Amino acid sequence: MTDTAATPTEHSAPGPTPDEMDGVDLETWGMGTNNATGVSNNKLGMWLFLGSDCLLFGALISTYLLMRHRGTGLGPQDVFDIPFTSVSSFVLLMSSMSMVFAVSAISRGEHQRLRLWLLVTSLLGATFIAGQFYEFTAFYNEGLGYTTNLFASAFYSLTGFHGVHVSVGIIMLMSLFFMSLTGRLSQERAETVEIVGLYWHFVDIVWVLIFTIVYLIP
Amino acid sequence: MSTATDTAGVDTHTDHDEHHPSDGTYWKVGAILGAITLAEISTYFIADPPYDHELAPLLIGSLLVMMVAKFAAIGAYFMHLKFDSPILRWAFIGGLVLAVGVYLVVLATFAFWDQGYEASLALLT
Repeated sequence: MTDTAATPTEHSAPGPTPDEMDGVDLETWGMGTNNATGVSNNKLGMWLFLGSDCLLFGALISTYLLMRHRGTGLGPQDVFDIPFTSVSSFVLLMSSMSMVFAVSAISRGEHQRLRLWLLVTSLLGATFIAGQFYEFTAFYNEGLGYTTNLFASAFYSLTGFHGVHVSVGIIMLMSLFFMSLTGRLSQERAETVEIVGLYWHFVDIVWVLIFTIVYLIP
Repeated sequence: MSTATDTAGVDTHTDHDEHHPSDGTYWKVGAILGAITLAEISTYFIADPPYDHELAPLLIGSLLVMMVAKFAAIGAYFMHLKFDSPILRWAFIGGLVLAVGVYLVVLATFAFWDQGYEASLALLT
């Protein structure tokens, strides 16, 4: 790490000296690449966030595993519609694929293709959310409310939090889409798309876990 | 992806950019992920729930293996962990290992003192 408070004579940390940094535009300089690690600060920040988000989902999955067979009333076997959820899972998986093509497109400077893939990813994400909304409604109509039993509370909390993550991802994707449309997303800012992509893939891998642990091994 | 502009004589190059997979690789990984997902879903048609079936250990074991394989493939190829700086890999794996470790301990704790938990719950209700 460069000690920004150090004077040029005191400077001993690896990386550029303050004199060398004069006139450097961080925006075009990898948006703040840390010279000590060789890694973009923004990207490292997103990875650290994702690492910490593992703890959130770890807590929710553990709670679900503890609570799923406690209490009375409707349980997983009574309400789950595996063929329907399988289609939703497949849709979310395909959205991860379209996201990598969006990242790939902007790295080549293909803005039209970038917008197409961003739109496809958003639509697939929205389809997943619509499926989740339908699933929740169906469960509720079968008598499984949020406070019906411990299984219901744990299930809705886990999948609901995941749904919120997907929704936030869709908002970020649409923001990128409109930024690109208005010419504010140049090829030099490809890292921004990649960072949003990391978030999106994380949401997908969390669903990979939920689909197996919650739905397929109820 | 960050730019590789060498401004002020500083090596700002992040060496992963050139090593990201091609679109062809993404298609292949996507096809493999799709195939694994189909295999996962097929277990539902073999036995639902899987733990009631005579092949339960095999079915549940294969489901867990397929889950880990999908997780690893997405992380390695779509999230570029295989090609990016190791520091990013460790930032994520650190969180993941911490989460799995902490919650395995939590789950084990509840399993060991389950009787006590049930008893205290009965007292409360």
